[in-house]
Amino acid sequence: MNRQMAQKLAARLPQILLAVVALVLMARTDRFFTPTTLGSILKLASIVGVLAAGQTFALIGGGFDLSQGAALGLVAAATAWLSTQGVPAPALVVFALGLGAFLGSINGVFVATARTNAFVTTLSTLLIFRGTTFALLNGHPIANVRVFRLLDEGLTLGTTLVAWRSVVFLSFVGIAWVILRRTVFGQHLYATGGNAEAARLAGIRTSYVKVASFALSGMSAGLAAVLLLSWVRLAKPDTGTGYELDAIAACVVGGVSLQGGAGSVIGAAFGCLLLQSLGTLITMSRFPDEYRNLVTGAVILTFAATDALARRSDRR
Amino acid sequence: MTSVRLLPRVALHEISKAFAGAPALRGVDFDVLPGEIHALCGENGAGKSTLMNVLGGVIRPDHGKIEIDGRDVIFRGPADALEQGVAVIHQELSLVPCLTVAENLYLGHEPRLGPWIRRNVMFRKADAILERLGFKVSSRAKVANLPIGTRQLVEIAKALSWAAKVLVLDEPTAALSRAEVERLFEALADLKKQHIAIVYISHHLDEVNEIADRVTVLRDGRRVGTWLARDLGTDRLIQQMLGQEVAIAEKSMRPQEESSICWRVTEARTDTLNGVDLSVRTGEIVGLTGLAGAGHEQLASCAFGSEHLTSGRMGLLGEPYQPNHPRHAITRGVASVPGDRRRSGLIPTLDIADNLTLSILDQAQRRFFLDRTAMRTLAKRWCDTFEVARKSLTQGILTLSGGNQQKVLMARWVATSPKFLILNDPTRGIDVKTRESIHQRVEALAEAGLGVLLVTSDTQELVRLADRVVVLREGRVAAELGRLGISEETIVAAMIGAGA
Repeated sequence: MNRQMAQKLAARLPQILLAVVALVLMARTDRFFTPTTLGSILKLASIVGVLAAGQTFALIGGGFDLSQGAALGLVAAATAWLSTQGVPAPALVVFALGLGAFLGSINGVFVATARTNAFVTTLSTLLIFRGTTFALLNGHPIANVRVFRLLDEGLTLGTTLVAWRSVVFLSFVGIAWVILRRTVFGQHLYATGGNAEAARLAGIRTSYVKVASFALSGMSAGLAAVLLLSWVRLAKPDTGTGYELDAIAACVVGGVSLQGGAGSVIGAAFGCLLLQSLGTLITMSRFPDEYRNLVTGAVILTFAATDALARRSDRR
Repeated sequence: MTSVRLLPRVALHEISKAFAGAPALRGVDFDVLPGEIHALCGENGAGKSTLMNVLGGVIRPDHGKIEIDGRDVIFRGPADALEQGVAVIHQELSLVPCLTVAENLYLGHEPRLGPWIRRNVMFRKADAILERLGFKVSSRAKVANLPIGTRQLVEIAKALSWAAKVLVLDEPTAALSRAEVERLFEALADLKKQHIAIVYISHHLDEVNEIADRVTVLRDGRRVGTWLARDLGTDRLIQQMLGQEVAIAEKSMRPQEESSICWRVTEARTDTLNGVDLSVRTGEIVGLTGLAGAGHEQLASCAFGSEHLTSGRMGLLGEPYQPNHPRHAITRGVASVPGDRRRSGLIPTLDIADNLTLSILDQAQRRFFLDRTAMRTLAKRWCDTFEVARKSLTQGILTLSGGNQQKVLMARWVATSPKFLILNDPTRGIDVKTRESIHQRVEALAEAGLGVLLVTSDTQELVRLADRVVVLREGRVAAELGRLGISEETIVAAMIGAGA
C-alpha cells in the first residue's frame, strides 16, 4: 500500500516539482500570500473554475466539450435580454441553468445516439451557439445588466472579503465531487468513460449517462454565465470566447484523463487555481501580459507529458 | 545435429524482470545455437512473452545480460535488436496491407538514392530473398490480397531482409491451416540449413515435438529446465509445464428430467440465426457451440438483451421475456459473463472493488448516495468467496492475472443472484488450475438450481461441464447431444457438418 503510494508520487514528480517552484516564486513575490491577493485569485478563477468542474463530467464520461464558451455566451445573451424584460433574478438563475443544461444535452444526444464524435459535435454546436447568440443580440451588446449585482459582493471573514462568486465556485466543486464520488450515477460515469461497451454489458444505461454528463457540462456554462454577468454586467456576441480551452487546460493540469474514466473534480479545481495563480504572478511581476500565454502553454504541456509518461510506465 | 560446443547466436544470462513489483522473470538463462530450433514452452503467465520481449528489445531486463555471438549487448529498443540481427515475429503480424510485398520487406530500410526509393533494386532484392526461401510469392503482390499463411512467410522474409541471424516466432501457426503449417515447417527447416537460429514459442506441444531440437520450459518466471526435444515426450512436457498434477474432477451428476424450464427461445431469427429453438432447464448446464459465425455467440447476446432478435420469442421461468437492454435482463435475474475480458468485461481505469460491484451498486445505495464502506464490504466478501489473489481491493484491475480478472468478473455476476447464467468462453486464456476451480464453481451454481448456458468453442470445456450440447451451424441447430453422446469428436463433427 505504501509502496503503491510512493510509486504514484514518483510518477507525479515533475508536477510536484512544478507546483513547488511556483510556490517558491510566489513566496518571493511581495504581497502574494496576502488574503487580498489570494482572495482575488479565487475570484478570478471562479468562472473558468465552474466551467472546468462541468468539463470534468464530460471528460470522465469519455467525452469532450468544446461548446462551453459558446453556450456561456448564448445563455448570457438570453438571460441579459430577459432581465431587460423585468424577469426577477431567482427566475433568471433557474432559466440560465436550465438553458445551459438543455444546450449541453443537445451535444449529449448526438454523441450518445447518433454516435458522432464528441470533438466534432461540440465544435459544430460551438459555431451554432455562437451564431445564435449573434442573431439574438442582432450584433448589439446588452449593457448595464444589473440584475445579479448582489453576486458581485461578498461576505466578510475577519478583514477579508470573500466574493460570492468564489463561494459559488467552491460549492459547485463540492457538489460535483459528491455527485462523482458518492452517487451511483458518478460510479456509472467513471465506468462508462473507462470502457463503454463493458459498462453497457454490466447493465449501465450508457446513453443516459453520456447525455447527463454533457448536460452537466452545459449547466456549468449556464452557471458561469450568471457569474460573468454579475461581474461584467454586459452580454456581447463574443462573450466567453475561448473559455472552454481554459477549462480543458485546467482539467489537464489537474490530472483529468482525456481518454475518459479517470480524474477528479478537485484536481480540476486545483489546476484552475494553479493556472490563475501563475497568471496573477506574471501580472504582479510586471512582465508583459503576453508572457502569460507562453508560460501557461508550457505548464500545460509539462503536465500532459508527465501524465502520458506515467501512463506508459503503468502499462508495462 | 548441432554440436554443443558451438557458440550460441544469442544467449541470455540470469535475466530478471519485475512489473510493478511482481516478478515476471527470475534469473532465466536461455540460448539458441546457429541452425537450431529452440522451443519455449510454458503456461499463460509463465514468462514466455516477457522473455520474448527481452529478446526483441521491447523490454529492458532489471538484471542479467544479453550476449550475441559472445559479445555483450544492450538493446535500447526493438530497432537495436533488429540491427544486432534479432527479429521477432509477433502473433499479430506487422505488415502494412496496402503496400506490396517488396515495399513491406524493405519498409524502413528502402534502397535509396538520396530521397528517392530505387524501386527496381528493391523489387530485385526482394525477389532474391523470396527465391532463396523458396516462397512462391510475387514481390509485386499487394499484402492485402495474400492469404494469412503466405503473409506469415512474408513476415519471415522481411526479417531476413534485415539480415536477421535470430528469428523469434510467437505462436506462428495460430491462424494457419494444416497445409500452411507444413509449408512453414519446410521454410523453417531451410532456414536451419542456412544457420539461422530460431526461437519457437507455441502452445501446440505436438508441433514442438515435431520441429524443435531443444525445449526450454518456463514456470512462474523461472526456467524449469532445458531438454533435447526427442528425449522429452509430450506427456513429460505437460508435466514440467504444470509442475503439479491438477485434479480434474469428474462431471457431477445432476438430476434434470423433472426440473422446470428456466429459459427458452423459439424460432429465433436474426441476420445469422435461422430459426433456432433452445431451452435450458433449472439446474442444467447447456453447452452452445459452433464455428465462428454459426450464430451461437449472437444467440447468447440476444438472451441478454445486448442484441435483438428480428423475430422469435423468449421465455424466462414461464413468463414472456423480451429484454431490450442488459439492464432489463439483469432485473429479470439474468446474468452474462462476457467472453472478451479486456474489451467487454473490465473497466481498466477502475480498481478491483469498483469493477466487482458495478452491477450490484443498488445494494450499496443509501437514499441518493453511494455508501463506499458498504461497497468495499461487498467487494471483500465476494473476493474472498471467489478466492481472488490480490494485494488490496484498491489495486488496478489490470494488475491482476488473467485468471483472477476472470474470477472478479464471475463474482460480479454471481453477486447479482441470477436465476439464469450465461457464460461466454469463461476460461479463455486461463491456467489449468484456475480453470478447474471455475468449472467446479459453475457446477455448484447449477446444483443450486441455476440454469446455465455455456457458450464456448472449447470442446474440452463442453465435455467437462455440459449436460447437453447444442451445436449450431449456419444459424441452425446442427445437432443436439445428450449426456452420453458428448465427446470432443462428436462436437467437432457436428460443428463442421461431417458425417451428419
